[in-house]
Amino acid sequence: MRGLLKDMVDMPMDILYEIFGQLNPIDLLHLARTTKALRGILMSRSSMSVWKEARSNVTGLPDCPDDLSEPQYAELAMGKCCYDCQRNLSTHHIVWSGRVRYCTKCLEKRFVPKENSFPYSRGYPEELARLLPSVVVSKRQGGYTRKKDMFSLPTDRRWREEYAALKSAEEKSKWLKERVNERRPMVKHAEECAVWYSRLLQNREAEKASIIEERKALVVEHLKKMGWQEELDLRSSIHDPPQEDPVVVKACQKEINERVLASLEDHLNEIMESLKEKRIAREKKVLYQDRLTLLKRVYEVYVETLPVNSVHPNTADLFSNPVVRDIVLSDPRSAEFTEDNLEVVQQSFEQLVAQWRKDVDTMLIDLIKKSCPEYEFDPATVLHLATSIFSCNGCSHHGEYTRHSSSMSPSVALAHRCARQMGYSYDDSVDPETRAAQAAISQVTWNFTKRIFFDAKTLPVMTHLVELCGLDAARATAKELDELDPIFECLTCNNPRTGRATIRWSYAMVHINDDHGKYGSAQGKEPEWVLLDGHEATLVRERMQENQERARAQPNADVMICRHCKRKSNSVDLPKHIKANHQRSEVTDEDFVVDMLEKPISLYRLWPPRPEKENPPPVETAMDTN
Amino acid sequence: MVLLVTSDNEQFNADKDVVERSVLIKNMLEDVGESDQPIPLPNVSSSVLKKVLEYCEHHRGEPLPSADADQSQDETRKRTTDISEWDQKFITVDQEMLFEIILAANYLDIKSLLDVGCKTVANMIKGKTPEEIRKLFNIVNDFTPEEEAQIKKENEWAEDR
Repeated sequence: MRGLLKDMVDMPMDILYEIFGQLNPIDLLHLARTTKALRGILMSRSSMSVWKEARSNVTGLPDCPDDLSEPQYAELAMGKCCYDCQRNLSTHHIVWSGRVRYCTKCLEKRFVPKENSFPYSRGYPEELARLLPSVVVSKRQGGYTRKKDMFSLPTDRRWREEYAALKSAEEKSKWLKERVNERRPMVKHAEECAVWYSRLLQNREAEKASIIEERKALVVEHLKKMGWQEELDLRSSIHDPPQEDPVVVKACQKEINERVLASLEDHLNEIMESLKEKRIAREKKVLYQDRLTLLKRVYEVYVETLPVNSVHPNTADLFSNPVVRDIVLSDPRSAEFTEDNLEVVQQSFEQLVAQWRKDVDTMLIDLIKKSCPEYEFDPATVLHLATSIFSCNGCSHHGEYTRHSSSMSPSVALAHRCARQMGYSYDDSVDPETRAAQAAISQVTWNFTKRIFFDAKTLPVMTHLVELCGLDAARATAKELDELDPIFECLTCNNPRTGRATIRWSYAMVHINDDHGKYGSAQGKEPEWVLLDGHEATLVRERMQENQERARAQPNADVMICRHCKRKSNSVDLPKHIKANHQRSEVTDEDFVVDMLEKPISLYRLWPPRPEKENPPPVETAMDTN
Repeated sequence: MVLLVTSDNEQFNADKDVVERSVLIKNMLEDVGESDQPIPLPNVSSSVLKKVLEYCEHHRGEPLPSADADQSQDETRKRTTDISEWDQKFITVDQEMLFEIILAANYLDIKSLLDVGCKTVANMIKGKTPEEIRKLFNIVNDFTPEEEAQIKKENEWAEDR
């Protein structure tokens, strides 16, 4: 193929100029660097008009200054390389008033920041110092931009030396006038150039942004072709537009063609699947917000009718029941969802609560099985046993252990607050419906965060204590133990300053974990249990009861519940409330009940302490006798 | 109809209003008046004339730039860097043909075609480095490395060196 450019030089000059006139000055400069022949044409004086015409193609570029040739001006205004190292770096600084462009490294070899005294004390008049070649360098550091105003050190030095060498005031005045006359138009032109360049950069940015937007639109069109039209139509523009995905944005920095789009397809499908999932979750959240809030309201009316201290599911538990879920999620697109839709659920609350109790009992039994796989028990009775004590890892550091007892219909483990707390961790095993429902009503199902557990070391401890009472641990129920109310003493924790450590049976695990566990006073020591005899046990029970009643009388002790209105208060204020609000002249046990979640006073330090055991005297060694 | 004869002796019959897009032919027709004599085009080959006539056919009937068009109108024409979609497709030819079309448009005095050709070449050059331009047009760098280093520095201002 015959090279066009080779023929160019043989072309009629008017055609050549016609082509050159369409170019920008930097293109002419590049052409002039391709071959000697083209350089010969473009650098001849007769081509001056072409350079001017090319310059006129650059919108807003100030005229060529007198001190520069057209090619020099083209290089300064539109070139890309550092004038010193000739490298083409992304960051360079044009010193318009110095007619140079440098990379940061080369600039800092010649330019220094203006100190506070600038333009004074330079060794020549400040009028000229103000005209030194200068540049403001911006540097991004973290979240802010640091600007440095720098000036040309070589020029500054030269002027200082020249000025110092002049003898008379007349010579100095003449020198100054010449320098100022030379520099002033350059600085003025430099200011115009700086304005032009700043606009150019702004336009370029805007142009680039617009091109990227066009490319993003191509990606969106491609998504439609890929079958995502419906999903895109369903989306609100405020929710993660797919074209703003970082990978897509990065791809849009370059030209988007069929090949690029094809290479993006897998990722685009991933984004859209994920966005679809999010969109459905959002819609469900709205749906759930409305419907579950209604369910919650209706259910709360029912809960109000339940007796005090009854253990019942919350709305999230109810929703976990497939029957309830089907009703709540029926006809999801329908806007109308009223109490009428929940009529069947409303009529089944009693059965639903009973079903939930069965379900959670199974969950509790599973906790025992999981923790003690070797333990053989009868599932029908195990939850009634005195040995079945559950723990909570949410509050065990406070020493609160929770007892599951069938002596009361509401079980403490089921009512325990931690079992209802939302966790911070994200459980992948939970289905999206449950997650969306829980988020909508800020509730979790019982033991959602798995805080309630069965501690394997409970079983031998409780078995031992039950056996100390002369009972069979495989049969003795919590109810029997509660009625018997045995008092045990941990001999290991006898303390000459605080007394003997006496506890109720259900408190044993708390004592072991608190006092014999990490940071406990008997850390690492085994507890040694004895059963207190009748007289001492009675004494301890009375003291414990006394302490319990004292605790109930404290102003912040909201452990007494009014049976009439379920108001919680302390043992001093609640009777007043009952008299005032429920027209009772005398307050009896029929009017209030103790909250099942009350922390029982189960430890009592009996006085006097047991005598301290004497440590055996150290064995004398041969060395000691010497 | 007007009969045109190319440098390789091929004859082309074309409508008068098509060939009159060429100011050269238009003037010739005006000079010779009504005649069946073929018009020789010794600087244009048949393959190029075929392309030129395709262009003239497409733009038939469009107003021609008047001979006394003022400078500003001409300037505006030149400044418009966009090339219409059809023209762009038309001018997508190999470099040799592009070169020939430009020369023919210049010889036949078809300003708009010349303009399209020149703009196309200009667009090919725009934004390219010297090396990229050489590669594009298949030409050899005849500068020595020393000369090349020198010409890069020739443009700079010596103030702070």
